[in-house]
Amino acid sequence: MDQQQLSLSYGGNEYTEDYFYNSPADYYDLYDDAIDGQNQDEQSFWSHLSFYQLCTQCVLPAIWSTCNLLGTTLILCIFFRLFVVVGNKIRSIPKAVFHIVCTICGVLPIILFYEDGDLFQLLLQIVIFPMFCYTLSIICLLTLKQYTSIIFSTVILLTLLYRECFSDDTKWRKTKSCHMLMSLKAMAVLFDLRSNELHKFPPVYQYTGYMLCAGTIYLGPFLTFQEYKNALFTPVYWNTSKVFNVIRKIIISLFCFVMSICLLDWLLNKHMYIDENRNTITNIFLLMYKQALEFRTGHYFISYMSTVFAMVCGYNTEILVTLPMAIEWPQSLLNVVIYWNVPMHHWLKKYIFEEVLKYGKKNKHTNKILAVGATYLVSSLLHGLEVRLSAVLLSLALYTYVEHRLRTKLASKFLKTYSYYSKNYHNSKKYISTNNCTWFIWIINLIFTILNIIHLAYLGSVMDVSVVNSVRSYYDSFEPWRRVSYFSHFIILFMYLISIIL
Amino acid sequence: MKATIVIRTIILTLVVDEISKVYAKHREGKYKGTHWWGIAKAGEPNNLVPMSPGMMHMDSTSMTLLRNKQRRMIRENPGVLQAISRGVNMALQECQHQFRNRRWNCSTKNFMTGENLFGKIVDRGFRETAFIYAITSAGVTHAVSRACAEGVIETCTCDTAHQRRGPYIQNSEPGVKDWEWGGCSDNIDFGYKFARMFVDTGERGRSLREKMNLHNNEAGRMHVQSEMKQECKCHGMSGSCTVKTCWMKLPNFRSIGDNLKDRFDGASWVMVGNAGGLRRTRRKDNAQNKHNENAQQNGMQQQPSAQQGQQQEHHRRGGRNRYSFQLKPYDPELKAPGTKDLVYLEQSPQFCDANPRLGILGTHGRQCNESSIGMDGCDLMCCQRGYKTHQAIVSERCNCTFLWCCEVKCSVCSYRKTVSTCV
Repeated sequence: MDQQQLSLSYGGNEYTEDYFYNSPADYYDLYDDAIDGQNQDEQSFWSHLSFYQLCTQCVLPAIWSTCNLLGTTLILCIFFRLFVVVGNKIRSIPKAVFHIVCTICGVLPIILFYEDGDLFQLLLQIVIFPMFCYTLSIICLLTLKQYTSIIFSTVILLTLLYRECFSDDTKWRKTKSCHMLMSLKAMAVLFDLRSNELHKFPPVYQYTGYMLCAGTIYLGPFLTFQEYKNALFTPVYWNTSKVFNVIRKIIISLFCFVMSICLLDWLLNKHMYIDENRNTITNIFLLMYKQALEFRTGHYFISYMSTVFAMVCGYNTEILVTLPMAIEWPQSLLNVVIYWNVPMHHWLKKYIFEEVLKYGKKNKHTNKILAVGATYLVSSLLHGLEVRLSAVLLSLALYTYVEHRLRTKLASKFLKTYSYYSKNYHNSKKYISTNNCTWFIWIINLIFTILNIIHLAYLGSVMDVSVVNSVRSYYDSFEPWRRVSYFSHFIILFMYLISIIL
Repeated sequence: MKATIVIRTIILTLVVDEISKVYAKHREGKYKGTHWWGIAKAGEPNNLVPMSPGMMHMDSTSMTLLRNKQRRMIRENPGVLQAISRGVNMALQECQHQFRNRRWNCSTKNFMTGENLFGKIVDRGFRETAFIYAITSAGVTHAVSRACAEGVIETCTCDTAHQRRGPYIQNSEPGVKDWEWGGCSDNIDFGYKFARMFVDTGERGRSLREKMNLHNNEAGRMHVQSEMKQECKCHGMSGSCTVKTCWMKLPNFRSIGDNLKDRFDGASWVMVGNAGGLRRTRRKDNAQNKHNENAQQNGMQQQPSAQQGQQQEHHRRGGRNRYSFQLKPYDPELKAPGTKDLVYLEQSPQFCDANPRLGILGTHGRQCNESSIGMDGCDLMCCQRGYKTHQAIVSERCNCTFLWCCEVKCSVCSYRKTVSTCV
C-alpha cells in the first residue's frame, strides 16, 4: 500500500526536464542569506523554554537529583539526633557509641552517593586524613615545647597545597571541602588546647567523631569541639517555630540552588536578552553579574543547607552561616567578607588574626598589616592556593582595606556627626543611621553600595560553577577580567589615591 | 492493480537475488527517497506558522513531498514538522558553510520547479551526495532532539525513570557511573529514533545505492549522538564540588558539520558489486553502536558471535534488519568503513562545468580568492579558465550599538572591494 502511495505521489515525474535555474544571481542571493544567518549563536540551553517548561525540565529534575544526597543526609541527621535523645535516656550506653554513630551517620551519605567508582580510595581518603591529623597532633604535642599549633597548622596547610597541586582534579574537587573542614577542626583543637579552652587532648573516638560528625562533614559549617560535645549530651528543645524555621531554610536553600542552576540563566537570557558576544556595557555587565550571582546563589544554597543540617543535628540551634541580603545589597565590603561565611570568618579571626596579633610586639600598625596578610595567606592556603580564588581573595582584601580607609576619612573630614560604622556590644560592625540622617549621607552610602555591587559582579565573574573538563590555563582563568580591562581594580586604585589626598 | 504488481515485485526481490539486482539497476538513476527535504523550503513564506506548533498547518504541496509513513509520523507527533523543517534548513546552511570554498558549494535548486532540493546530484553516489545525506539526517536528529528538550513536541516525554544511562554517553570514561539527571537528557534518544524512522523510510530496497544512503544517514545521526556532552555545575564550600548537577547538552551544529566534513575528506569508496558484497553484521541498537564500531575496527574476530546474535535477532523480530549490513571498501587493503564514516560509490566529477544531467552548476561566475592557494583560490576554483576582477562597492552593517532596552541600531558602511569572479 505504501508503495502504491509512493507511485501516486511521485507518479509521472520522470525527471525529464533538466534543472533550470532562473539565473545564477538567484542562487547567489540564497548563498549570501545563508552566510548572514550563520552569525546566530547557540543560546543557552534553557533560554527557549516557557516558565512551565522550565519548571518541568530544569527545576524539578534539578531538585530531585540533589534530593538524593541531601535528603539522605537530612534523614541521617534526624536519625542521629533521635539516637542521641534516646541514648541519653538510657544511661547504660557508653559514650564512645555516640561518637561512633555520629561518624557513621556522617560518612554514610558520601559513600552512598559517591559516583566516581573507586570507593575504597574515597574511604581511604576520608578515614586516613583524620588519623593523619590525630597522629600528627600527638607527635607535635609530645615533641615540641612551643609553637605546637603553628607548626601543626603549617604542615596541614602544606598537605592541602600538595593535594591541590598533585592529585586527580575531579576526585580532589569532590573531597576538597571535607578536607578543608577537617583541617579547620584539627587546627582549632590544637589552638584551643594551647589557650586552655580545651583541657586535654580528646581520645581517638571523640576526635574522629568530631572530624567526621554527621551533617557537617562535607558542607560545613565549622564547629568547635565544645559545640560538638554539647550536642551529644545536652538536650535541645524543639517547638513549632523551630521546625518552621528549618523548613523555611530548606526552601530558601533549594530556591537558591534552582536560581544557580537554571533560573538565572533563563531569566537573563529570556528577559534581558543578554548575549555572550555582544560588546555593549550593559550586556557585559549583566553577563558578569549573572556569572557572579550564579556563584553566590550556589554558595547560599550550600550555606543554608549546612545550617539546616547543623540545626537538625543540634550542634548549634541558632547558627548563622551566611546573610544573603548583606551580600546582595552590600553596604560595605566589610559586611560581605564577614557574612560570606560567618563560622569561617570567626575561625580566621580567632585562630589566625588574633594569634598573629599576640605574637607581634612593638609597632601596632605593621602588626595589624602582618595579621591581615597572614589571614589572607592562610585562607588562600586553605583553598589550596587555587589561582582564581586566591586572586579574588587578595582583591577582596585590598578592596575592603581601601573602602574602609576612604570611608573613615570621609566621615572624619566632612561629617562630624556621621560615623561610618559603630561597634555595638556584639563586637560586630553595624551601620547606624545617624540622628540627622540627611539625603547627603544617604546618597554617599548609596554610591558606595552601587560601587560594591559592581565590584562584586566583577570579582565573581571569574568564579565558574560549571565544570570544564579541560584544565584551564592561567590565561583563560582571568578572561572575564581581561575582557573589561580590569576596570574595577583601576577604580580601587583611584579610590585609594583619593583617600591619600584626603 | 498497480499495487499488486509492486507487491509482487517486492516478494520477488526478497526471494531471488538476481532479480533484486535487476531491480536495483532499474531503480538506479531515478532515485526518489528524499523529497522530504523539500519541507525546508516548501513552508516558505508562511505555510508553516512558526509560533504555533500545535496548530501546524501544511498545505497540500508540502504534504505530497512526504511518504505515507512520514505523514503519519508527523500527524502522530504534533510539532515535529516545524522541527524537521528547522533541521533541514540548519543542515542546508551548514552544508553551504562547509562547502563555501569548494567548486561544488552545496547549491540548492529553486524548489518550486519541483523535484529535489539539492538537485540531481543526489541521484548519484558521489562523496557530496554522501555528505548531503549525512548532514540532513544529522540536522533532523539535532532539531528534533532540541525541540524535544524545549517541549515543543507533545509526544516526546522526558522519561524520568531512566536516569543512569551508560552506553549512550560516550564521552564519559568507561566504568564511571554517570551523574543523575532526571530531565530531558534522553531527548537525543527520541531524536535518534525519530530521525531513523523518518529519514530512512525511503531506503528500503536492497541496492547498494540505498545501503549507501542508509549508512550515511546513520553516520549523520551517530555524529549527533556521540557528540552529546555532559554539562555540569558544581556546588560546595568555596569552589569545591560536593554537590554536582549534570545534564546532557546537544552539541553545536557547527561542530557536527566540521566533523562530518572531516569524514567527507576521508570518506571510503565502497564497491559497486554483487549483493554478496553486503556482508551482514549485527547492528542491533544505537546503544551497541560504539561497541560495534570498535568491533569493526578490531577486525573480524567478533564476526561469529555477531552472526549468532543476529540469528537470535531474526527469530525475535521475525524479519530482517535493515541496518545489518557491512559495506566493502573498493580497495580491499583498506579497512571497512565504521559507523561514523561516510561512504560513496563513484568518484566525484570535477564540478568545473555545468552539467545539467548531473545537476551541476559549474563554477562559472563564482567568486574566488586571488591570493589563496587552496580550493577557493582562483586557479583551482575556475579550473584554469581564468578570472576577471572588478571593483565593487560593498555595503555592510556596521557600528552596531545596543540601545536600552532592547534594540540594536546599526549604520551602513560602504567600502570598495576587489572581487574576482571565474569566467
